[in-house]
Amino acid sequence: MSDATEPVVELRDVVVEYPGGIRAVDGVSLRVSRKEFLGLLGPNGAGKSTLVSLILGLQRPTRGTVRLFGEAVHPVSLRRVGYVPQRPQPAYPDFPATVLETVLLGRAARARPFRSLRGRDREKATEVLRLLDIEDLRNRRIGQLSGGQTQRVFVAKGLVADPDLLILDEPTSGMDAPSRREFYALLARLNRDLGITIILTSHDVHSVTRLASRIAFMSGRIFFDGDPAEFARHPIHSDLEDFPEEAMPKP
Amino acid sequence: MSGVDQVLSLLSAAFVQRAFLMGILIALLSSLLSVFIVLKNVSLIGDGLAHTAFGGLSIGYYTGFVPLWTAAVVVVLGSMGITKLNRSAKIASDAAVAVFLTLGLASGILFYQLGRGFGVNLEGLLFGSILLATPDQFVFAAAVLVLTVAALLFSFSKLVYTTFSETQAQAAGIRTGFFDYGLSILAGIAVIVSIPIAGILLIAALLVLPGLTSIQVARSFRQAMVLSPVFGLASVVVGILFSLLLDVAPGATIVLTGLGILTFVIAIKKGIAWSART
Repeated sequence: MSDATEPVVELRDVVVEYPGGIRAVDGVSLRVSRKEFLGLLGPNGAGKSTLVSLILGLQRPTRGTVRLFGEAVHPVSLRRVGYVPQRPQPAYPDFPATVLETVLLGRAARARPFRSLRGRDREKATEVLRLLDIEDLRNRRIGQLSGGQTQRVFVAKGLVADPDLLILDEPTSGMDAPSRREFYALLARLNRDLGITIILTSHDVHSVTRLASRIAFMSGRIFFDGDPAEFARHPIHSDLEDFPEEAMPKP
Repeated sequence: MSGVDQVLSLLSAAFVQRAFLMGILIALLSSLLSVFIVLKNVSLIGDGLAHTAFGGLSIGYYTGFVPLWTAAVVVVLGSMGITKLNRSAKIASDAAVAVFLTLGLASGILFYQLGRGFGVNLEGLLFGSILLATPDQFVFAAAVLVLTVAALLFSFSKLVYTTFSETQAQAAGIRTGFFDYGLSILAGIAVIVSIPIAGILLIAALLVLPGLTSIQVARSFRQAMVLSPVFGLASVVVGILFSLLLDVAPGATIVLTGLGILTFVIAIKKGIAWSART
């Protein structure tokens, strides 16, 4: 039985420096435990997406270490992670895939040579589509969906491989308020009912403060890391009431 | 004797039948890869590889090594080079293709002229010729088709995910570089096999048009993979028939047929969308 405090993600003194000496991430240390729902907040350009890239092994830190499930980031450990990108879309805008085919891609990494995805994979995909209330869309082409529906399809793709960690990088950008509320309720349900550890990056400070079990606020460095109720009383949060962008500390 | 009668009488000739069989093989081969090439936004890779093949063939003729195998080696190296540059964040994809396209063309012309033409039918190589489809090439094309189908089936879902989004596939733990290089090498070999019928200048179209046409109408990825060979086969068979009828190089008629099918499909699609709105 794994320990509830076991680190799912652990970053130690991570620095990401770009040519010209620009530091996107400046000495960040962060530990995310099992079943936590971490809201990673900060303005645009705060380094949130860079941090996500580091956890997913898409980028290497200039300095410091990143560990996933207690080991260095590796293709095998990444198979335990579901990822919902900032822009939930394929590389080719009119990619000819149905919702079911798109969701099944989430199980592709586990497919064995010369074995197509079917049977158990399809059952699992159907189960996830039902959970996200989009089973009726299964045969629709993904390009024909609304923004909110597409977002759900990508969450389904992230969930279909039974991940231990779900990472969502600003998933509500471009969503209208009702879709956003519905989407947040869904994430709360996944964390509470299925026990999935969630890292959600956003600059929707107020909603995420109400939703997450822990808040980290960054702008290059981590300026706050703790309880959402405490963050709600923190000067950064109160400044945000009136000056959402300008009030944020700059790296 | 009318043109149609002439074509019918030609159809009984062994070399024409061989050209059709060879055409069917290259249609299947290129159209299976075409879906991935179009969706990965690397449609120009066929052009780069075909010109690299020209360089390889010329080197083969000039040095006296078997030209087809020399070209195959050069194209595989070229496909790896294009992919390497493509994957580098510092060089744009079209620039990577342009580098190898010009390198292949320049070295092809250089060795062709140094060898004083080697007594080779250059027009046939550039535009395609049904006379170039030899029994050996037919066997080679059949073997490459089997190899390509096996390679696609080996890790089909991972290849589809890499095509869907390389970043998302990588984040899921898929080694996307393997699939990028693999697809590029398969495309290079398909180019070598297709040159006799389609010609160096027009082979790239066979790696684009069937996939592009199927994407217009397919409602799923599975449908796209089925429709692409259907469109590819139609282009090649009808194109070779026109080539016989008009007594012109098959490369041009195959490509124009493929473009005609694409235009027809888009027109039908637009017509359906328009009638649904009104």
